[in-house]
Amino acid sequence: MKLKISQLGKQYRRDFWGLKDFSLEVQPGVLGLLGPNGAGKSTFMRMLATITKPSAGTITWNGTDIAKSPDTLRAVLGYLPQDFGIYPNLNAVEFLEYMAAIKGLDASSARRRIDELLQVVNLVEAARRPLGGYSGGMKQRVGIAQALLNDPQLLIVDEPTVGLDPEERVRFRNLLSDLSGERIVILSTHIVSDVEATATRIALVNNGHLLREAAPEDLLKELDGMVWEWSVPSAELPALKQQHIVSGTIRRSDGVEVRVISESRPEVQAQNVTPNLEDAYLYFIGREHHS
Amino acid sequence: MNAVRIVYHLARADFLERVRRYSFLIMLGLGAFLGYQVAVGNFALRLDIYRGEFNSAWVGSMMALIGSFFLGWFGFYLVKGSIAHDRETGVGQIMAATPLTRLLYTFGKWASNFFVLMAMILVLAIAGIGIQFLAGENTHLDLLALLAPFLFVTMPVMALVAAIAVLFESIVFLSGGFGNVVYFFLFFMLFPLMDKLSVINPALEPLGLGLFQQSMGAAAKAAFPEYSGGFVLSNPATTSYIFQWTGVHWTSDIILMRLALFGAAIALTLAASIFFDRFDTSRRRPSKERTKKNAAEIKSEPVPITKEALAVQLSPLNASTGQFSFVRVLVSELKLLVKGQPWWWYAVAGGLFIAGLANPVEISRTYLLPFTWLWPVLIWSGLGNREIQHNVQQMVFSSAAPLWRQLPASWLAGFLVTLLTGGGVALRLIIAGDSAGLLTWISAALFIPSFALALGVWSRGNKLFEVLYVTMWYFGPMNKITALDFMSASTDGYPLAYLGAAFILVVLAFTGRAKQLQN
Repeated sequence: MKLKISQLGKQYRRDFWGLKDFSLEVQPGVLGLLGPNGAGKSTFMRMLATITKPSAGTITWNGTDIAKSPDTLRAVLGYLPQDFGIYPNLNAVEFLEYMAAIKGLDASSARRRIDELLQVVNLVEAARRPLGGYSGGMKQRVGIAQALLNDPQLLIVDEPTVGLDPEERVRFRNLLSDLSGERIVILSTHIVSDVEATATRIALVNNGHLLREAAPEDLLKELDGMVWEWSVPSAELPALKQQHIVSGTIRRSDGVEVRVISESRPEVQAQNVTPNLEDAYLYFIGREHHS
Repeated sequence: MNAVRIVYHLARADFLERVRRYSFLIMLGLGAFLGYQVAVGNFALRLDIYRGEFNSAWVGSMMALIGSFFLGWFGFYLVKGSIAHDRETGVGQIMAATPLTRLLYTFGKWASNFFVLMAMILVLAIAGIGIQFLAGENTHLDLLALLAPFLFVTMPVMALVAAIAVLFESIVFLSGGFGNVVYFFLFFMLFPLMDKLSVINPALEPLGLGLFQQSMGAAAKAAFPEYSGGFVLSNPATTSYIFQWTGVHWTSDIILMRLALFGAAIALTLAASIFFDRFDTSRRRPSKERTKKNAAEIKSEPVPITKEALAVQLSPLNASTGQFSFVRVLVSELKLLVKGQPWWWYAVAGGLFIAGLANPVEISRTYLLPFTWLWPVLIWSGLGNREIQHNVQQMVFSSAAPLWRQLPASWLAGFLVTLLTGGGVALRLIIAGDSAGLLTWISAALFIPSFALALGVWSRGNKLFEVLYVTMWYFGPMNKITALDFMSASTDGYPLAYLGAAFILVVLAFTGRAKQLQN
């Protein structure tokens, strides 16, 4: 099971590339795609999901170019788009039956799988009610269920936790981790905690380019000794933000406790602290902006 | 911020949003196409076998009338959808949370619709100037004579159409495909009423036909006393005699009467503001049953996660490919087509089935079949575009072989609906041993879903099929125009041609979908 992306690019206008020179090899596990809005994550996901054709480069699945032979991948693909709809007059079971039939599942496997998935996404009680009356979070859970219908070898989920309540979000993260063993899961989000909880590899994307691809621990290692915390008077905060990458602030009675990323000690009283993934994200994205 | 400024900015933003869409270019293209048809002599205004010299007044009036008639009819479909667009994009909800009133919103939409239609009228007016010089019969350009018909006849009609589009969009049951069909019948059934208005005062007749007919008719009669009436927009090949006409004498009474149509447009927009739901989705569920269901769903949403649910493990599946069942996709597609209709829809369809079976062949074929196959028009119109309308295309198109699995099932589901609804008439034809009738029935049954699928795929919406199908239905089976009588209901029709057309349309649908998949 191997997904290889070589020199991938998508050009929208003559002078604008949504994604350019994007190369990556993905192994089984969860790959978290992190990047600001408009970084090119969804463009990348749509090309992976065979919805959009690349303008340059190739995506190969087990050696087959998916632009030339998309059905090779589609047969084993589960895709949850960032923005999707449902058929309002069908209920969840009927909609999943429809998607299962299109995906080519046999009737008995589909029935069993739908029953299980409805439990997993906690929609058993609402399963026979028209989807038109579902809330945003419930629709999102139907979307998650359809993506998992065919037990996909490649699961692509674009902003999957949008609209989910905290309990459901934790559940979904756990589900992704459980699923990841024998398959490739690509998770795109700008919620760093979602990636922190599930990803075995992280790809940082900005301005249509791949900035860095590494294991979370390797990214964190690069920030060892670079994250600092100390308290400053509130009035000094704007000036501090001009000089450093500030990754967090907490209001205290004596001012503001700041968390700053800096290669050298920014203040005498600053204490070195353990970096987290949010620090790493801000550091690498911020560094690219500066360069 | 005063009201005028709000309406101006609403209309401006909406107008810019629309004119920057690809579809606006197509709309302008339609205007240019109408102008071109006149320029090359395919289409013109004539009074029996007489016509006026191509001077500024004649050309301006002819183009204004063409604009009034065609944009009065099609313009509605071109501008309707502006409120739906705000609903779909979510902009409506943002606006609903501001102090913007319903009245100002509907006026903003009316103004935007009006400007979009007027942009097309402008294309026709410019084309008119070109046509006058191209014809070369009278090269003196009198701008006032050329533009006055646009100002006093076409412009008020466009204001009215813009307002009707806002009104239809504001009324829940007229906002969708049903409204598209209703407008068609309203437009064509209003003609007899318009004739009566024309007798009282020609300026009262909204499209302006009466006004021009009276003035042009008088000029034709003065030049050719044998002229005995007749006033049509059609093929000019039969015109043999040319007379001089210097235009309608625009008295203040006529102008006031015409501008009164703006008053009607304002009244309709006011009415629209009463019906407009201000993006409150709860107001768009009129059925008691659905409201109850919805309340039950919302109430049941916060379901606690049970231990059993947490313990569920997903069973691994074996290789799923190679177990594809076309029948299951077909059943699902059928459900998608017919589910969600009210009970009376099935009752009427059943009634038409039985009536088609129980009546004599002639009555079944000539009168019942057209109505039987008008009834499911809103079902067929979802073919080929439902995936996009409901935004599930990314999920459906990323499944294996969507071109060969889902699209044929979609067509077949549409075909089955055609067979089932028209089955009563088919059985009647079989019982009567009318094999020729059965062949025409089969060709129509194949043509209808193919037509719907091709138009749905290529237009990515349901409106084009709804408008064209109902138009064909009206002029063909109902008004005996042989070429358009795809059911051979009231004429012999061309069943083999429609059979061929069905095949071509299916190929077009597949080509279009393949193109969508290769984006």
